[in-house]
Amino acid sequence: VIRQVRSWLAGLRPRLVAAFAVIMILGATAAAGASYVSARNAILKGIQDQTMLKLRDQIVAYLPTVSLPPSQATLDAFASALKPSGALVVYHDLYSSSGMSPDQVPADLRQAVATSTYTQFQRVDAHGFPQFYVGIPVQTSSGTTTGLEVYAGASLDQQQAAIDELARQAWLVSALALPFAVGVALLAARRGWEIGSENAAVVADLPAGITAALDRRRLDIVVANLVGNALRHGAPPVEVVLRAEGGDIVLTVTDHGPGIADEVLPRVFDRFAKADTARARSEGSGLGLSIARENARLHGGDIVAANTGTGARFELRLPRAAGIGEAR
Amino acid sequence: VKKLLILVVLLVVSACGIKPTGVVPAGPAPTLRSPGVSGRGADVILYFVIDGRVAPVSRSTGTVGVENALSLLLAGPTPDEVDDGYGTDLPRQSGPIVLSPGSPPAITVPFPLKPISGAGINQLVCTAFAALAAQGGYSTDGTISLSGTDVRLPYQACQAF
Repeated sequence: VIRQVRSWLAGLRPRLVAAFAVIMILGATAAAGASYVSARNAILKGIQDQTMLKLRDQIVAYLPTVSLPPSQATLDAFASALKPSGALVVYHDLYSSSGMSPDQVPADLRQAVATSTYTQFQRVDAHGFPQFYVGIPVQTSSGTTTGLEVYAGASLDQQQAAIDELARQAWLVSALALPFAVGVALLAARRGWEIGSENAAVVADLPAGITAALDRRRLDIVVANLVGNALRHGAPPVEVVLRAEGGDIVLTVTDHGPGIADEVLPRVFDRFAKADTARARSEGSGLGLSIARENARLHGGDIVAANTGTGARFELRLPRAAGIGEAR
Repeated sequence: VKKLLILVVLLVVSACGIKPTGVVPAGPAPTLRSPGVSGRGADVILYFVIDGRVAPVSRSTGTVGVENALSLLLAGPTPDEVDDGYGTDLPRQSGPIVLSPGSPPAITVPFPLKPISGAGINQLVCTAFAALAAQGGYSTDGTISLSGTDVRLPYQACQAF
C-alpha cells in the first residue's frame, strides 16, 4: 500500500495538487494568523490601557486630599476611594487593609515601582489564568519617589476567552481553505490533461510502440509547424494520427477547414506561399511548411499535402531506421 | 524538512494565547503636591464635575483655609473652567461655612443637603479634604462629617471620579 501511495505521490498531478494546496493553506493561515495577532493585541491593549488610565485618573483626582506621611486610615480611605479597581495602596511598610495583599503583587513589579517614577505594568500567568497587574508610584513635584504606591490587578479571563475564540476562528479559516485549495488544484491539474478529449482542438491518435530513430527536435519542428498550420488555416478538430507502414512511420495531420485551393496546392511548400492573398500580412511567415519539409527531407523523408474533401491533410513520412545524415 | 515543520509548529503555537510579559513602564507617575512633601504652600484645589465625575481643579491663589476653599467652591467654576467642561452640582449660595475641628472634623454649610446629588456631596467633601491636606491637618480616620440646614451626614469620605 505504501509503495502504491508513493508511486501515486510521484506523479505530476498529485504533486501539483499538493503544492497548490500547501501554498493556499499557507496563505490563508498567514492571513488568518496576522489578523488574529493584531486583534489579540488590540484586545489586550484595550483592557490594559483602560485599567491603567482609570486608576491613574482616580489617583490624580484623589491625591490633593492626601498628605504625607499617611496614616493607616488614610491608606484605607484611599484604597476604598479606588474601590472599583480593588486597589492596594502601599506606603513603605504600611498598606491598605482591604483589597489585594502586597504578596499578590509580582515581586518584579513591586521592585520596579518602588524605584521609579513611572507607571509600570506586568502580565503574569497565575496557574494558567492570565493576570494583569499595574503599579503606579506617586512622585513629588521635584521628581523623586514619595513611597506611596498604588497597585491594581485584573483578571484577563474574559480576554482569554475572546482570544481563544479568535484563535478558533483563525484555524477554522485555514481549515476551510483546504477543500477550496484542493478543488482549485484539481481543476488546474485537469486543465493540463484536457488536450485529447473530444472537445479539444487537437485530437491525437498516437499508439505506443511505433518508433523511429530520429532527431527529436527536428520532429518537434515538423509536427509543430504542421499542427500550427492546420489550426491557423483549417478548422478544428485537427487530427494527428501516427501509423507504421512497412519501413516508414507516417504521421498525418488532418484539419476540417476549407482545404487548400487548387492553385495553391502545387506550391504550398514554397517559401512565402500564402494561401490567402487577401491576408498577405497575416500572422504566418510563409516559411512554416517549407521548414517542415526541409526537416523531413533531412531525415530522408518527405511531406505531401492533399485535400480530403472536408479539409486539408498533410502526410509526413519518415524512414524508421534511416541515418539522420548531416543532422547529427 | 522535519526541523522546519517543528519550527513552524512552534511558531504557530507560541503565537497563541496570552503570554506573560516583563515589567513594562507606561507613562510618568502622578505627582503629589502638598506641603508635607514640597515644604511650600500649594495651590487651592477645588473639585468640580466634568463628564459626570468629580475632578480636581487647581487655582493659584495660594493656600487658603477650609472655609475659604469651600466658599470658592460654592462660587462655582470660573468662565475658563466652564470652557474646559467643568460644572458644579452645588447651589450658588453664599453664607457662613464653619469648620469644627475634631475627630472627625465637622463642616456646616448654610443650605439643605438632601437635594444635592452624590457628586455634589463629593465636591464638598473632597475640597474640604484637599484643604485639610494642604494645611497639614489631615482627618485621622479619612472621614469628615457634613451638616446642612436639614441633615447631618457623618463619616463622609472623598470619592473623586
